[in-house]
Amino acid sequence: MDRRSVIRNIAYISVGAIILPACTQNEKRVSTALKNLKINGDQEQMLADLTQTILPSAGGTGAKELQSHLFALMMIDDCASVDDQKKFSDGLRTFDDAVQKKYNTSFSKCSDGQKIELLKDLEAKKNYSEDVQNFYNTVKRYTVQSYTSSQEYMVNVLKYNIIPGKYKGCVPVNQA
Amino acid sequence: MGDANKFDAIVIGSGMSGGWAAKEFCEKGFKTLLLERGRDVKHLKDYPTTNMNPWEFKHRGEVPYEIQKDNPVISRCYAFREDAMHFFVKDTEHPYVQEKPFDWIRGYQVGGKSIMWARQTQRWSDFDFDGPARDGFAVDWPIRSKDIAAWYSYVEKFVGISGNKDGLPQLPDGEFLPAWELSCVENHFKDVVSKNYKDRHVIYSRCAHLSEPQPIHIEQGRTQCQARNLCQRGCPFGGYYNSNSTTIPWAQRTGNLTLRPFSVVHSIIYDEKAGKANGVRIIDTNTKQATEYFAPVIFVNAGALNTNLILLNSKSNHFPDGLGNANGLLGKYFAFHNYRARINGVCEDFKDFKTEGGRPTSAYIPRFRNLFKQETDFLRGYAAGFGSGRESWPDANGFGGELKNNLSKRDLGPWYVGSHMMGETIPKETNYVTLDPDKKDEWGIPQLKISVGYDDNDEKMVKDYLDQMTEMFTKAGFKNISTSDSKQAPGLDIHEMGGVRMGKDPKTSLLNEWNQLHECKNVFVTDGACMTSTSTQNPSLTYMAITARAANHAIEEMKKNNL
Repeated sequence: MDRRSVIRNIAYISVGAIILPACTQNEKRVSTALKNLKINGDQEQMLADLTQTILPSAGGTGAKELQSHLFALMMIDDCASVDDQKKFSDGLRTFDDAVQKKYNTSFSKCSDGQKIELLKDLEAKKNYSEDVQNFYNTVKRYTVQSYTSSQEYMVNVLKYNIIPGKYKGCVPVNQA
Repeated sequence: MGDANKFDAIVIGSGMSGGWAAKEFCEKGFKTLLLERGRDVKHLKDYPTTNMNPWEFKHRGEVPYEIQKDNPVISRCYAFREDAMHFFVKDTEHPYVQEKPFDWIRGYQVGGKSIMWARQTQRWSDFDFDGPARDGFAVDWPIRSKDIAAWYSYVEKFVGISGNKDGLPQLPDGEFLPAWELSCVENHFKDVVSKNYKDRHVIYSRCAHLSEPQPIHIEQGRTQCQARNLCQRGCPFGGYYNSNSTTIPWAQRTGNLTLRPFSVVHSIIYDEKAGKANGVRIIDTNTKQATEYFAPVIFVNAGALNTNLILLNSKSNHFPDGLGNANGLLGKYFAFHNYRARINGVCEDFKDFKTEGGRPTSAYIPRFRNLFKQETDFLRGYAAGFGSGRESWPDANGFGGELKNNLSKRDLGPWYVGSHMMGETIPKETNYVTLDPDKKDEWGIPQLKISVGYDDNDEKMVKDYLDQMTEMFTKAGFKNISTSDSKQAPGLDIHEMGGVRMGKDPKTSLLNEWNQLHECKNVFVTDGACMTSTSTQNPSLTYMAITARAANHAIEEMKKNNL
């Protein structure tokens, strides 16, 4: 149906608007238009690297292809409360500081081994402050959401179909 | 005044009931003006989100924080989500005064709230119409089942209602298209309840969906419901009933309909000499210009609260306190449905089974409390929705390859079961709406002041619902049973009713048995405002039947030159 493809195109255009190319000047600026959050290009890069460590591209679509860090920024910018936005912004700095303290470098410059060690600690909820832990949990939550609400995931894993056509009240679980 | 402003009938409001009034008049050859305060919404053309997949929504369904913060009332409505929020009125768009907390949920557009309604359609029985007389509250209804049964049938056939013939005296059967299935767990609950309680029943909840379209529905341009369960967006199949897909295009096809969106009715004009109304004064919401339209009969279907507002604001020498308000009761005895209580649990059986597809309705428990006789320390009773299903949640443990692997497996959880109450509230003089003496809206019309609250009867009913449902859930073997009382404000039920009640006596009611104002017979009120009591059923079907009945009475009376 034509209407449907028009709607799709509009949706793609609006996604396109979010991921306009990054500024290539010396000072790294953030690549996405944000109304409330104030973050710089280095922080955006850190977020991109963090989401890609959480959800790598190996074995199929990951955070890089989904632009999960931009999704997270957009959702926090538009849908989080002012309080939660502040917690996120503070968390960016707190997380940065914690990584610097532990590894003497930024997250983006950490080796793969260091990144994995860091995330193992965070998953085990050890060695890091509550603020750092909360920041990681927030980023992970949005990364997972960008994945589980993606077309690929919903169609392949959830078998989502906008037009089921019928309802059955009691079918065997193992039926295809 | 030019002839362009003269019609045979004027209908105020294009929603659930107004669409029916317009259809009836147009079909019978009356040139009809249908006024709508909001924008036009054309079936199919103006459902911008209807074919969108979940991943195509920028915020995945969430409403941005700033909109929620600026609009706390509408943000409490379950259907105010990214996919349908364009059909709801934001708090900031039409302020009102809450003398007591009241969540006024509105849809200002052609079709009104019929676009986003929950589509539940249960008939009233004489256990409902008899209520006030038997239990000594409000006033006696001037009609009974026998007066409206044929009109229920008339409406049901046109709308298309999916249901089972259950043979219950408290919930009369109607003209039904096939029902969808109940789930295994719902059938189990039904069996347990019927074995344990003589007068309690779990049935399939009748709903306004085309489970099997008939020729009349095909003629309307509607097709089979596809079990999408995305109805609040407007349906590309016309699978459920709304005014936009059904009554309004039907009326337009006759060539007799003039639909005027962007038209807020300021007041109804009363002709002191003739002793009746002769037209309406509207304000164009774009130009802010006032215009008058004239007709020998006027139907007020603005939605219960706005109908009260229009009548209260229709002041004349003869009616200084509002049109037809000789007894001072206009705006009083306002009521609603009590939706505060919920119960949830899980069913650990039937693990080898699940549901498939999206059913646009649920199971339903008709009222059993105080039905045949008074048996509790509160008046009246409640109906309940009952639903079940299974969900799978992603396992989000770990990171990297482990996380992706975890996310790729979706194990089904146990069956969830849940129910919500739909309680009758007792209309009281102390629950009222009136005009604020000072505050006006952007069209210069006084703001509505709402003073409606719960009472002790409602508190007792919440407790009884939770006690009874806990007992029934326990007997069914459900586990992890949890109950809650949301304490939500009246209004969030979106079943506001009354203020212009029907009755036999002009001293104690505003409308007669044909929904005519006792004091101004060519003005009819057939939306929620006319309700003498609320009973427990979702009210839209009854509004539609009352409207069709009243419109045909008006047509007969006009033919006899009685109006």
